[in-house]
This record gives sequence, C-alpha cells and structure tokens, in this order.
Amino acid sequence: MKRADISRLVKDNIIIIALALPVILLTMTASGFMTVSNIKNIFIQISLYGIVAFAMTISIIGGEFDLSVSSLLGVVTILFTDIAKRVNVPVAILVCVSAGIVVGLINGFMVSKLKINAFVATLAMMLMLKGFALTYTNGRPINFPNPALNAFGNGDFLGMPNITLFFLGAFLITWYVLRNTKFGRNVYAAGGNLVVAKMVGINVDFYKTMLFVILGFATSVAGVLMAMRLSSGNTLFGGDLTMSVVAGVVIGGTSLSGGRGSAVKTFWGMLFIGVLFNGLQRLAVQANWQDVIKGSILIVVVSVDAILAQKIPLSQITTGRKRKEQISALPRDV
Amino acid sequence: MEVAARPKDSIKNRIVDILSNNAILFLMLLLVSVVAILYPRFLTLANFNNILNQISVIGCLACGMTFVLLIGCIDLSVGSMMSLIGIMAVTVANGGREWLAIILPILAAGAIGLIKGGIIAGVNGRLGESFITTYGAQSVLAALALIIQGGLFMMVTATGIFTRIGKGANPAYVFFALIVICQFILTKTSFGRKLLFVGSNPKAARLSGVNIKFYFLMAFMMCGLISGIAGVLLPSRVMSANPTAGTNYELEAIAACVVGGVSMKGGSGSFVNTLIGVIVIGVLSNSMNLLGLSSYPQMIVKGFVIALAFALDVVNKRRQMQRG
Repeated sequence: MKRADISRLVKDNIIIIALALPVILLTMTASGFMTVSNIKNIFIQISLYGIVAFAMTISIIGGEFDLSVSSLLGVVTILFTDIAKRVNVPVAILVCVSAGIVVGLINGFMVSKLKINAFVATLAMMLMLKGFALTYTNGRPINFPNPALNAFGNGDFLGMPNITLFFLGAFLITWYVLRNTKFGRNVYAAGGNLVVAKMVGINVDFYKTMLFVILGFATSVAGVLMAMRLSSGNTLFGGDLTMSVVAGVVIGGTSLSGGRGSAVKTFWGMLFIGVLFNGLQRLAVQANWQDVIKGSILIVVVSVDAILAQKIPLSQITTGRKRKEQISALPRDV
Repeated sequence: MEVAARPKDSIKNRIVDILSNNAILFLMLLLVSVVAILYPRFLTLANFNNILNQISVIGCLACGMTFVLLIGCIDLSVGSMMSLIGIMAVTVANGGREWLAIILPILAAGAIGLIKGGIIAGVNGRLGESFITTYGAQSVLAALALIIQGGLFMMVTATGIFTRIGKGANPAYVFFALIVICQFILTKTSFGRKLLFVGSNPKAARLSGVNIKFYFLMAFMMCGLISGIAGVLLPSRVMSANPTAGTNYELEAIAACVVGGVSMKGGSGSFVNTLIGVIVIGVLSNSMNLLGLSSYPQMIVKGFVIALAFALDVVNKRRQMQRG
C-alpha cells in the first residue's frame, strides 16, 4: 500500500476516528453511556432525523439544498394527527405522503424551471409552510392518543426499535440507489458539474426536481412516524431538523459543493451527531447551551468543508475513474 | 440593425417590460385601491403614521441586510441578533447608564457582524456558505438571548434618553437617515462602488487588485451595526425586551429587500430599492391587518410574495438577456 493511499484512507474515514473521541470520553465520564439501552437510545434519537438526512445526502450530492424540511416535518405531524383523529389512519398516511411529494414538486419546480436559487426558494417555502401550520392549528398542538399507533411508533421488532428499522431501510435504499443505479450516477454527475451533465445529455431539470421530491417524501415518512411516536402534532416539531441533518451530512464528509459523498458517510455523521447530543444530555448541559453548541458545530463544519472544497482539485470531485480526465479538462463554470 | 428591428415590437414589448419590471408595485396599487375602497380609514394620515411606525424597525434591518445582499451573501441571524441586542440594551439601561445602553449594544452588534464576516471571508464563502453559517449563528444568538436573562421578559424601568429614542416618529427619522447615508456611501464613495464590484464579480474584483475579503468583512459589519440600531430601537419603542422579539424579522427584512429589487446574485440594487420594498411590505402588512387577517395567514402571504418576487427577478433577467 502506497503512502498516498494510506493518507487517502485516513482522510476518507476521518469521521470514524472523530467519532471514537467523544465515545471514549463519554464512556469514561458519563456513567451508563456504554450500555445496550443507551446505545439503543442513541439510535432512537437519530432515527427520524436520519431518514431525512439520507434524502438530504442525495440532494446535497446533487448540488441542491432544502431549508423547508424543518417546517414540513411540523406540517406533516399536524396533518397526520388531525386526519387520523377525524377520518382514519390510512387516509392520514396517504395525505401526508402526498403533501410531502407535492411540496417537493413545488420546490423542484421553483428551482429547476423558474431557476430560483434553492436556498431562497426553500426559504420562501419554509415561511409558507410554517404559516400554514400555525393557521391550521392556531398555534396549538393537536393531541391524538391512539394506543395502536403509539405502540407502533415506540415498539420493537426483533429487539430493534421500529423507527430504527425505517432508518436502516432508508440507509440501505440510499446506499443502493447512489452506488448501483443510473439515477445515482446521474445525481453525482449533475452535482459535480452541471454544465458537463447537461452536455452529456442528462435531463438535469428532472433530476433536480426529483431531489426535492425525495426529500419531501422522506420528510413526510419521518413526520408520520414522529406523530405516531409522540401521539401529537405540533408546529414546533422539527425546529432543529435542518441544522442537525445538515451538520450530520457534512460532518460525515459529503461536501456542500456537490458531487461528492455517500450514504455510509451520512450514517457515520448522524451517529456522531447522535452520540454528541446524547452526551450533552447525559452531562446535563442546559437546553439553551445545547443550541449554542449545535449552532457552533454547524458553523465550524461548514467552514471546514468550504476550505477543504477549495483545496481539492476538480478531478476528485466526480466519481467514475475514466471520466475523470475528460471532466478535469473542462472549466468548472463555462 | 438592432435599432431598425426594434420599433416593430416595441410598444407591446415596452408595455410588457413596464408591467413585469414593476409587477410588485402594480399588485400593491391594486391591493391599496381594494383596501381603500373597503376601508376608507386606510387612506388617512393616522394610518399613514401607523405604517411608518410599523416599518421603521424592519426598515433598519432591511437596510443592513442590503449591504450583505449587495455583496452576494445573506444573513439569516439578524432577527435573533436583534433579540440579543435588545436584552443587552435593556439590561444596561435598567442599570442606569442609558447612553451606554445605546452605544454599547450597537458596537457589540458590529463586533458580532465582524465575526460573521470574518468566517465568510476566511472560507471564501458566497451565498451558500453564508446561508448555512448564519443559520447556525441564528441558533447560537437566539440561545444566548435566552441564556443572558434566564429567558425572562424584561420591562424597561429607565426613564431617560433610552426611552425617548424609540418614541413617536424617531425610529422613522433614524430609518430615513440610514437610507440617505447608506445610499450616499454606496453611490458616491469608492468604498460603495468597490462593494458593488465585489458583489457582482468577486473574481474580477480580486484580479483588479481589490481586497475582496475586506469588503466581505465590512458588509457584514455594517449589517451588524445597523441591526444593532434596530435592536436598540425596538425595546425603546415597546418599553420591554423579549428574548424572542426578533424571531422571523430576518425573513421580513429579506422579503423587503428582494421585493424592492435588490438582487440575490449580488452587485445589483440600491438603498432606494430597499426603501421601496420596505414600504411595499409595510403597506401589505397594514392592509392585511385591516382586512382582519391574523399574523399566521400573513406568513403564508409573505412567503408567497418572496417566491413571487424572486421568480419575477429571474424572469426579467432572462428576458433582458434574450433581447440584449
């Protein structure tokens, strides 16, 4: 093994090394950290946000970004609780999933057809969704204690919490799609270099729209599960979703500049976030200080990512070994 | 040949041009006339004063935001910064030092802006990086505002100058003064011209010898200073400080700038645009209040107006490009 290979191996797996540090520290300082129940606890904590994180990974690899997921999660919990209460559960699930997909389609339309910057388009969407949620509920939470739903949301299957199974399912699907399908390849291509992707005939608008649809779908699934778990719908749910998810994705090593990253990286990144938040709770850090720490982590991580992105030559940004030379010969923004 | 080709489609094109370039203004005129017919009280001097009072604090924030937008970035943390500054100002003012309560928080806000600008300049960030780092900063500053006084709602017990600066038409005077000063800086000084240059094309600016990092720093510092002013005016006007007072104010400020015509791409726009946008948003909020819409549905309308303003901005740019 060459030295360069070793350094690359270290660089690619830096998150695992980074994860080891808090794990060792917490095992020593916080009692009851390294127990089966606490590890299960960490997975439960990251499962719902993790489902969104995998969709966000696809979207960030594709070079787009969505701020509106945090409001969408709240809207979905409200819609699910209210409709399950008034009509029935299957209708509620159907409505929530379609709502997620429709929001994704609108975001995708704004970004790919109207060419509005993704940050801005989803910012406007965030405001509209929050306004919708507050109007719908008049700012009050909706409660619907249903034993069957609650049992599903909090239940176990073969020793694994149900929501963690959804998390692992999302992980496997994302991993497979990004690695082994045409769709995944084209997402990497569109995120790595939009101009080249257009030149080789990829329908970029379709892929950009799909990124948002996938995010909307994943968020609605997470929202439905969250509403089942907590037996209530609330505008405030998901307030720190965007922050936690983006921090997890970027800590894992998926770059915000697009075209690089993987589901495995996000898995480790979310685990890192989970361990960190769990540690903060175990060490009894006050909630407001936790927000300070979360926000600071996001700032640091994004700054480091931006610096690294400028140092990495273009040839490493896209996947696919043979195409590397051809793509590197082209200027990045024509 | 260009000139010969134009007259043919000029009248139709010109009308479409005027309509689409000023679509927001026309929509506002429509809204104003509808509301004025339904509610005669809308077109009174008292209501005009009312609108002025409502827009001045948001106007100051929008003024600061314009600097950041002109350089091609965004700052999502000005709302929570305003909450933090308000708490700081009231804490100091209630301690008896009222002049200090005005100056110190504004300087602190400038320093926070400088830190944000330092991060963005340090990582060579543009819109994307500034979006996410200031999103993180929003959470940090909002949490700090809650930590400082234990999340308590604070009444102003001071009686001197601090309580007077936000009374009556004073915030409106501050707002108009800021617009005039900033517009002067932007159009008549080399600093302002270079700021626009860096905003429209940072690469070209760097290659022609402009220290672009300095301009990023300065834009964020100006934004910080001016949102500090807004943060001091608000508690003085309402005689209390709330650790969540500034929530969502940043969105209103961004909406005002963009509706007025400041481009998100950087380098295009002026403080006159901001002034127009602030008035449009103010009239919109006021009409919705008169129509009896509560603040929750108003959020939906404002979100829609932001999206519409951006869509129109993009459509207009594209048409200009096509026609040369």
